Amino acid sequence: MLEIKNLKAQIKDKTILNGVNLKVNKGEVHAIMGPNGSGKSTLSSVIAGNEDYEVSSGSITYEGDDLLEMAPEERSHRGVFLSFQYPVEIPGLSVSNFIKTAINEKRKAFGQENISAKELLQLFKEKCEMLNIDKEYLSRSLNEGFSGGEKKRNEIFQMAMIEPKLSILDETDSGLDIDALKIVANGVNSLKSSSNSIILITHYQRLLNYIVPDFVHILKDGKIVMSGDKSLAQKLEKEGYSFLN
Amino acid sequence: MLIEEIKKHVNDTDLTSTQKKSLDYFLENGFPTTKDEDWKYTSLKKVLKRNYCLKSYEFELNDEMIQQYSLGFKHKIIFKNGKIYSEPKILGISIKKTRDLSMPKNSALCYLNEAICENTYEIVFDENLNLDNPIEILHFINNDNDYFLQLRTKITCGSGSNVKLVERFCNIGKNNTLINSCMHADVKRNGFFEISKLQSYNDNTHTIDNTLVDQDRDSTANVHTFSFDGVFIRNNLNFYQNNENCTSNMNGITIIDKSNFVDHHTFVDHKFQNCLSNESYKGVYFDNTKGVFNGKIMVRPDAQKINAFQSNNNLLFSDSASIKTKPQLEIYADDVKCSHGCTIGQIDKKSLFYMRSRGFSEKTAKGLLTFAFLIEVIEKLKTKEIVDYAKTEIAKKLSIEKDLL
Repeated sequence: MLEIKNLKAQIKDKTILNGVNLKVNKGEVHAIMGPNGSGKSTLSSVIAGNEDYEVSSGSITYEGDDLLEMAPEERSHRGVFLSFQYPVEIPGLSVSNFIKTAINEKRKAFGQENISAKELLQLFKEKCEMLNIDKEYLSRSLNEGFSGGEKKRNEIFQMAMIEPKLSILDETDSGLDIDALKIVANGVNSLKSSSNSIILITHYQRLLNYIVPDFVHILKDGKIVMSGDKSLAQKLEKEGYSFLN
Repeated sequence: MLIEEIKKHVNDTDLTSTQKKSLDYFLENGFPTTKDEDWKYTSLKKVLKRNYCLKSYEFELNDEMIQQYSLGFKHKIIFKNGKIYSEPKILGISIKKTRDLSMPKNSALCYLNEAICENTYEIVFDENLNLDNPIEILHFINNDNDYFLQLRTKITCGSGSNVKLVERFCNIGKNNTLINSCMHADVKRNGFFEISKLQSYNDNTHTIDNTLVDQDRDSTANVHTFSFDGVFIRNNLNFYQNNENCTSNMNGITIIDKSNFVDHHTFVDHKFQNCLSNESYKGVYFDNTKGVFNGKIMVRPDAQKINAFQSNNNLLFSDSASIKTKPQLEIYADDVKCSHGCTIGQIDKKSLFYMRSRGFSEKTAKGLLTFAFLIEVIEKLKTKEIVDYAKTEIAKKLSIEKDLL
């Protein structure tokens, strides 16, 4: 589904990714861990199409096509989803209108009709229940005045509504208390299927107790320096990053 | 020169003594120039350069044209080149033409208007008249020459009455028109007065819109100004709070493109205690547009316990667009609460990326972010038809579907 080859990226002359290689197949869950400043968030931003970062070399292929050629909205239409580490607040735009428009923009891109009000309501109801969200929250302004946990839950709510093929969860677990973490993890698990893939970016092994990864990668200095199965995360939790040296 | 044309025009007319005095004042002072503090950023030079005629012109008006400009309210007051054409038959409303009617003035243009306007109307809304729906005031304008038109209306909002108006100037001709309009609203005790100004003009229309509101005790006056189209728009909006417990609300939405120009000058004179003024203007500037905002609030020595709030927020969409914004507070009382704030900014890049990563096209994302920026003002509008008009025009300017808003 996703193949990253020798990816190098920089922001304003500062090289952050220095030759990343990663292959994610359908139905797989990958966890990317690594110390602060190793390039985890940059990698997710580049996959989502943030134009602040410049790709200097390498390639990203998504479903056989050049992902780097696509505008951020096109990537989204094709099924790429980034759960932001710091979701933005948009006062004056309601959660429901935001999500409805996101769904319809994708439909429009494929020449489909807008989602019907009935269908949308049903979907809202279903996903609100899944993530234990009060329906009242749909009429609130997007992320405005939301707590850190609410913002993260809202990201997963959007993911549930949009039903992406490749989801990148950038530190979705940070800022969540244990109950919220369980709800979010259960949500992600129920969205998981054999046809979609998930990349989890996290600092903590804790999340991986709830969402079990097929692969764990360690990113350091802009490169993946070690890959393994879930036991690698446990080792990391015990010994810290020092064992890499 | 226009001044010569004005002199020639008055030679053929009988002026009352008030008109003569006003004319003298105007001729002595002339049109405002950028040397006047209130016109520092607004030059009339180009606007005044044309060979305007002052003579009216006869033209036909039909229902189709009226419908095109109407928001669909049942009751309308329609003018043709400033002359009454039709009026609603509602008990408690009287419209009469008068000649010698003095009004408050805020520039030499008001003196000129007083001196040479041939069609001055007084619209009186009786005491305790409660109108459920707004009344539309439609000014149809047409001439076979470039035209300098004076409009002049006094509105009396009787004690305890509830009056809502929607005003629109409709230049249906092809010639350039400069409109100098003076409206004086006299809101009596416990009266409620609201006017929505729909400024969607064609490219031949230049307007100077003077609105002066006198308020008596316990009254409320709301003025909503929507500036969407027109090459040159200057709004002078003055509120005079002449007794206690008055509320004055001013809301403005400006979205302009091409090389259009809009200037909002507002003034609130707090003369008595326990009064409120609330002002919120939002502007969006595309292309080579220029905007000016000057909000003056005066709190006089006896005006204690005043709450005065003012904000002017602007989004610039192009490097060649500009806005000059200036709050101007003069406070001579010590027990008052006043706040003001002006901002100029651009669409937030992070928000834009966030939305695009959710599948929004750049256009839709920018459009919705801009609408979200404006929503605070839109939410203050209580009339469905007005909200609908605003949304239609905003969607058009942002090139997005109205259903998204």
